[in-house]
Amino acid sequence: MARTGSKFMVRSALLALGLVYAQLALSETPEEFYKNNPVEIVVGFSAGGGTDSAARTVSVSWAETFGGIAKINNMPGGGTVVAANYVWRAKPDGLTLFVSNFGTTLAATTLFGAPGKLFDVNKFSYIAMFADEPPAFAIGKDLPYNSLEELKKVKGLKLGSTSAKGMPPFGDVTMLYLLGLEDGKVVTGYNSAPEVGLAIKQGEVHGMVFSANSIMKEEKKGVTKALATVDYQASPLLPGVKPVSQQLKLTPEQDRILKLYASAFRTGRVLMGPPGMDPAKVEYLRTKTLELFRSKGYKVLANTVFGYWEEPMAGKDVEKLIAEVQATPKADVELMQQLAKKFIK
Amino acid sequence: MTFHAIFDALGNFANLQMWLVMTAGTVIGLVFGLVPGISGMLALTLMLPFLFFMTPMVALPLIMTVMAIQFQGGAVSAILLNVPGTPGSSATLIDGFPMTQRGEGGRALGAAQTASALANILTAFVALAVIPLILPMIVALRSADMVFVILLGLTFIGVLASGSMIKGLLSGGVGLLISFIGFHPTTGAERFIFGYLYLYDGIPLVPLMLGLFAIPEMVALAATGGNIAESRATINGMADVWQGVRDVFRHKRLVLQSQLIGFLVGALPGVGASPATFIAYGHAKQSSKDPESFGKGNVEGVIAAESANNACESGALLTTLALGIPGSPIMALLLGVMTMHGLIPGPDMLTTNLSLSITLIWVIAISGVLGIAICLPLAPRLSRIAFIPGSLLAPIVLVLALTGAFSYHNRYEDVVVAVIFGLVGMVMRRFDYNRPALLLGFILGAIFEKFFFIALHADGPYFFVRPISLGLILAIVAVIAIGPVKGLMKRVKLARGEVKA
Amino acid sequence: MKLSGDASVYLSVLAIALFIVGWSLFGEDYSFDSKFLPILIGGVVVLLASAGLWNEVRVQKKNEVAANMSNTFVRESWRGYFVHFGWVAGFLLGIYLIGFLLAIPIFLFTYSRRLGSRFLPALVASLTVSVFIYGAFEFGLDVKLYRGLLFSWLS
Repeated sequence: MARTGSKFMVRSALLALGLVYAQLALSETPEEFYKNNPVEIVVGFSAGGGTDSAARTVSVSWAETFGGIAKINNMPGGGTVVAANYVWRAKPDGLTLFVSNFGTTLAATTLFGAPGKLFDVNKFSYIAMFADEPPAFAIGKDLPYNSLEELKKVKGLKLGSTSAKGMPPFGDVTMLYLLGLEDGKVVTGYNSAPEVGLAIKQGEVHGMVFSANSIMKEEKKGVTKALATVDYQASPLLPGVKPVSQQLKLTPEQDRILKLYASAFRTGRVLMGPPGMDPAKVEYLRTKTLELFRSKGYKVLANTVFGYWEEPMAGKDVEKLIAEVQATPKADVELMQQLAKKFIK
Repeated sequence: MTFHAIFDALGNFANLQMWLVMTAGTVIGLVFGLVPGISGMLALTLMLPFLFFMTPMVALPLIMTVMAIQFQGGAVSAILLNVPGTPGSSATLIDGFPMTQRGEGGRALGAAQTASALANILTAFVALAVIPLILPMIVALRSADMVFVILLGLTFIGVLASGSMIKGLLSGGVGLLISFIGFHPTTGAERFIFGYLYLYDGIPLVPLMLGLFAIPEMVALAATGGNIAESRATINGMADVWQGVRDVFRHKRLVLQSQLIGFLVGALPGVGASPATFIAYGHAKQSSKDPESFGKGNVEGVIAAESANNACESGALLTTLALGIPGSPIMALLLGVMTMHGLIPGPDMLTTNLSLSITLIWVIAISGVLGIAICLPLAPRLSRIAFIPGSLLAPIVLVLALTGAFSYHNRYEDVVVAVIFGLVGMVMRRFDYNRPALLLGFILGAIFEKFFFIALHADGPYFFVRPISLGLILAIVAVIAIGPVKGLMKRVKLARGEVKA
Repeated sequence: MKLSGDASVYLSVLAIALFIVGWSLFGEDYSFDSKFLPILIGGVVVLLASAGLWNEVRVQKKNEVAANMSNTFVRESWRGYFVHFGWVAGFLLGIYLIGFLLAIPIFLFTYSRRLGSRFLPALVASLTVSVFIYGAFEFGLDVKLYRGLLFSWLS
């Protein structure tokens, strides 16, 4: 009887220990969780490009802030829709994150749709936005125009752009509209800002709208001169270059189009997770990634890679931004699409 | 300033670390180029986190070495197994594999490795010499001119066709049609995707290539039994390899012409190595005294293709550094690593940072020497692959090919594409269609469409009325006419009794 | 008259090209730029395939006996090719169902035995290659090979 009794005691003790251990494991704090588990950061582009480099600034700095490691998983295809769909369907355990472009992946797909899109941008777990910069407008360095007002009189202005795979180049369209150049034209098909820069040098096109960082690089090459940021604010990368809103007197309709473009087509990169993540983990990630982006080491890295460092945007503010974009009046979206049809030949 | 930069660059090779880096890159490039479906790009992508922590003087030479050497590795599988290890090795197999079937695999490998190494070495010097000229040359070529450069490449579809011209042209035409699947390069319209997100970006190149070449050959090997080399073939070890080396030096003019083609095409922004190898191959065939033997195991075909694809890299490097426009995924990766280190491509790379640019050019040259030093002694052993029983070789190559197709973008659909194009390749092989012509049409189709519509919208319908474009049109007419004209001259000579039938 | 293999291929290419031209013209609301080259190249392919088909049928009519013999030859060799392609298709299905890591050794062993390899070389080759692929891809290249429907469902 005594032996049976002691067996029972041992089994009970083991069971109790097991339960305690399970409880402890389950209640691992977010800090411990991210210290002990590697994170996968998905990028919707091939290695070597701008977004990939931006994501790698995060992965390189991850260990210092979180103690664990972050690995990049490049998943190009479908204009980042493949990667976004993957993250959308990923387990919300906090170990799969995504670095996307705010403009092309989130805002544009919301406003204009995208084939094969499975996700709802309202439901992702937004952590932070970083490397945000306004787009800028530049023309060939050798052209005899030095202000937007001078450009308004030009006939047959041609802007070069990439063909954003189903998403028209709204930046160039917006600029032509704001300048009132009815006979202006956007020539699409170039693969990158340097290719458009080469086309400008060759005289094939006259100007372009790209991120301030890209425009700055073309300026350094002696190809272009920046005339304005296509936004309501200037960029520290282009000192002395005023925003278009301060240079041109815009009609209410033009102002709405500029607002749509400036809010929806931000070039910032968004760090986010799949829907349904544990709120405690989301909060922890939000706090710590802001720390990461504000750290001394990251600032040095950002200045090296991007040429500048900018204050990151918190996850909650990214959510507000998305809501703002979704609240865009339908009439404005339709007008933007009509302008694209008009200017893109 | 250039001489100063040259000496500075040479000084970078005075330390052991640089040689260790280049040796490591050579081995990685060879191994990854050799295995079908996995190129140097995959290795470098995995190494990216480490590349960012390395200094530029370690990271960039490593990337350059892998890039320069992968074609030498790719040539091995192209020649021995009819499977291009890299897209740039696609033209090598046209004559390389028939040589292996005749038991001349060692000779083909010797010729390929020597041609590759010479291309790396000689074009490095050419690159140094033309640094002041390269930017004006690239700037002079607008999209309108590029239309005709690509069209010139497309005319070689007809040159590649041996036997039935209709079948050759059909092969190229079907390749062009396949290239239209996916986004239109300028309008962004989704064409022929029928709602499948997978087809958004078109049919992927590597799975298509693996399916088109690997599967039909291995199925044929399995169906016919035996091994790759014909039963009467023999091998003579290093003697075969040296014969291949001598072949390269016997065809000096071909080597130089192919290198020039490769270098110039490589320098063109956004074109890549594959068109260069086919153009060089087509030119070699047209200018050969024995064009009928091309496609049946003519060593000149191997020499031309390998000279061009390696020469491409020196040209592409200059364009990448000077303009920031990469000609290949590896060049894009090079740019990414440069960005992470704060190096901005542009005129600075050819002025202030000239010594770094020259260092990278020297790396290409030296890696060619390292590559041949490793590959040539291995060539006799490698050529024995042709004598491995097909009952073992066929399943193994099929497994490697399909795994390689998957590893391209980690998608199961890529494996399905490879198998579908395996079926296409089987039909083509059986009915004497030209698979390289299909591949050429596929590769050039998207590039041609892009430049065509950019030229049309930027310069209007008369975009071809430019001196360079008109000159290229004349070159196209010459390429098309040269075959019939040669044939006519031969018939005239026959009729006159000047030549025996 | 039975069509030869060559004629069948011309017909298939013709059908595909006609579909592409037709779809570009009527199937989707493409802009001119988007449909121009598919229609142009598709049209050229239609012409070439038609010319090839006409020529092939003409030759076949002239040489009816020879064509009949070549049909038999084609059928026999095609059978062999399709059987072996069937193995490749089976491997593809196997990857889909049970993933690379199981499908590879099974395919390698069974197919090489089917092709006439002896038991031991087939076993050694299949194990060696499987280990190499697992090591090289999963560990060396950090490529997570597809696990298959069964294991995805189980996990």
